[in-house]
Amino acid sequence: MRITSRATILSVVEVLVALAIGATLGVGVMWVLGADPVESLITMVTAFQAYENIVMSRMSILILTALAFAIPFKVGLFNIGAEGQLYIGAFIALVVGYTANTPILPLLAAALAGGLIGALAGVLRVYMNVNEVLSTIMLNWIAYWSILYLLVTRYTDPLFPHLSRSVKPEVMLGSINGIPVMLIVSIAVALAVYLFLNYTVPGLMMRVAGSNEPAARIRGARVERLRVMSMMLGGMLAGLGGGLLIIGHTGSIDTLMGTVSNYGYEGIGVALIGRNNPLGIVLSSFLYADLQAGSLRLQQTQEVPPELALMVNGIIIIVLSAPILYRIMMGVMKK
Amino acid sequence: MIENNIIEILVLSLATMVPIVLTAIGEIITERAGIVNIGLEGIMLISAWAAALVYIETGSGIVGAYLAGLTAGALLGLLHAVISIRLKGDQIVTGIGVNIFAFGATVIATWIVWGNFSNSPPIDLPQWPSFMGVRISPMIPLTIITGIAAWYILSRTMIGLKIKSAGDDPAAAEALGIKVERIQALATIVGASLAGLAGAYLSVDFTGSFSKGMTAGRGFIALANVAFSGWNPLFAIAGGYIFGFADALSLYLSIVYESGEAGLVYLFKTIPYIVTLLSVALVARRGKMPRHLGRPYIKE
Repeated sequence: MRITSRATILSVVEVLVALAIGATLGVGVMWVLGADPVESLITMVTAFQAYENIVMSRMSILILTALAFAIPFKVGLFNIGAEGQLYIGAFIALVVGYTANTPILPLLAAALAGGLIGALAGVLRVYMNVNEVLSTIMLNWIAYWSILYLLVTRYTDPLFPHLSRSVKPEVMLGSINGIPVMLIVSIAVALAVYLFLNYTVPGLMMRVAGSNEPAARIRGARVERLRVMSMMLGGMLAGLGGGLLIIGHTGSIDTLMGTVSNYGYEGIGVALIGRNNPLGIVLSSFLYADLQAGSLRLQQTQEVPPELALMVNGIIIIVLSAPILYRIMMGVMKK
Repeated sequence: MIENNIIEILVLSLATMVPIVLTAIGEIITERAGIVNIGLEGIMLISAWAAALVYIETGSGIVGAYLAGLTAGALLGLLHAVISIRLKGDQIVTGIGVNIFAFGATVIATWIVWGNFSNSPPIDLPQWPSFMGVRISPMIPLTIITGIAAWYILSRTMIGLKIKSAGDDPAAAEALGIKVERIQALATIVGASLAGLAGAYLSVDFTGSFSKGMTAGRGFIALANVAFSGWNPLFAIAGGYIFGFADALSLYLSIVYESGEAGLVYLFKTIPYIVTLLSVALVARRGKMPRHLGRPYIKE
C-alpha cells in the first residue's frame, strides 16, 4: 500500500513537472509574439470564468477522445485514430440528425460508426499484423477526405456554403442548470469506464493482458478478443465524442473540418496527463480545455495561432514519455 | 493519350517516391538496431520547415537547405535516442509527442517568421532537367543509391552485423563486446537524418513552399513501407515506388479533375492511404521483424 501511494504521488509530480515545462514554453512563445508573459498566464488559467461554455463543451469532447486512447492503452495498443473516429461519429450524427426527432438516435449511430472503425483497426492488428498506429493514421486520412467529399458534394447549406446544413433544432442537447448535457454524458461515460476497468471481469482482464500477457493467457483470457474489444470501445467513445460535438454544440460541420479537427490528437495528451485513469482524465480534460479557452481569449488581443495548444501538448507528451523524474527519485531512494 | 498519361504518372512516381523511400530506409536502419521511431512524420515536417527557412532567408541555395533538413533530422534523432535509449522511455509515446509537437510548432514558427498561419512564401524550385514534364531531381538517383548502400551495410559489413545484433538480441550482443546503446543511438540519428533529408526534399525540391501539415501522412506511409519491405532496404525501394505511384496518381487526378465536379479532388486524396492500408494488410508479416524491436534494452 505504501509503495502504491508513493508511486501515485510520484506520477502526480511527474505530470505537474511536465505541465510546468509545457506552460513555460507556451508562455515563452507568447512572449516572443509580444504578449506580457505573466498577464498571459493569468488570462489563460482563469479562462474558465470568461469562457465557461467553451471550456465545458471542449472538456466533454476531450474526456471521450482521451478515453479512446486510454482504454486500448491498457491492453498495450496505441489508438491514434480517435481523430478519424470522431470525424465519422460527427458526420453520422449530422446526417442522422437531419431526420431524427431525439438526440438519442444520432448519438447511438455516432458511437456505433466510431466503434466499427475502431474494431476494424483492432482486427487488422490482431489477425493481419497491421500495426494499429499505422492503420489508425491511414483511417484518419481516409475519413477526413471522404467526409469532406460528402460534405461538399451533398450537405452544404445553400445560404452558408462554407457550412453543412444544420441538424434539426429538436435533436440538439440543451443544458441543465447551466451545465451542458454533453458534459454530463461525458462524465457519466468516464465513470462507467472507471467501473468497467476496475470492477468487471473483462475490464480487469484487459488490464492484466496489457501488463502481463502470459499471465492473462494462463487465466484463460482471450487476449486477441480483448484487444479488438478495447479498440472497438475506444472507437465508440471517440465516435460518441463526434456525435456530442454536433448534437451538443455546433449543429453543423464547416467545409474545412475546423469544427471537428484536433480533438483526437489532443485527447492523447489529455489521456497521458490524466495517467490514463478515467477519473484523472476528467481532471486533465478540464485543465486542458481551460488552457485552450485561455489561448482563445488571448487571441482577441494578441494574434496567436491556435496550434500553440498542440505544440504545448506535444511537449508535455514528450516529457511524460521519458521517466526522468521517476529514475531520479528511484536513484535517491536507493541511496 | 492514355498511354502517355500512364507514362507521365510512372515518371512522376519517381519524384513522389523519394521522401517515402528515404524515410523508410532510415527507419529500417533504426529498427534493425531495435529502436522504433514513429515520430518520422514530425521529423519530416520540422525538417521541411527548417529547409524552407534556410532556402528563403539565407540564399545558401539547395545544398544549404538540404543540410538544414539533415541537421534538424539529426537533432530530433538525438532527442529520440536520449529518451528511448538513455532514459528507457516509451518509444511510441515519444514519437506521438514529436508528431503532435511538430504540427503545432511549425505553424507557430511559420507565423513568427513569415507572418502567415499556414504557408511560407513560394520559392523557386531548383532547375533540374525534366522528363515527361517531371523535374528529375538528383535526389531520385541519390535515394536509390542510399537504399542500395543501406542494404550493403546491413547485410555485408561488420557495422551492419552489430546493428542487427543490437536489434535482435542486445544482451548477447553486449556479451560479445558490442556497445549496444551506442550502436542504437547512431542508428536512430542516421535514420532521423534521412527523414530530415526527405522533409527538405518535400518543401524545397518538390512542392516549392512550406505549408502546414504538408507531410500529409508520408512519415507513416514510410513506416508502412518498412513493414511492407520486411526490413530490407532493397525491397523498400520497390515498395516506395508503389506508394509513390499511389501518391502520384492521386496528385495527377487532382490536377486533371480540378475543374470538374467540386469535391471530386477530395476523393482522389484518399488513394495513397487506401493503397497503403491494403498493401500492408495483404503483404506485411511480422516474421522478419527485429526480435527486440521497440523494447527498452536494460543492461543487467
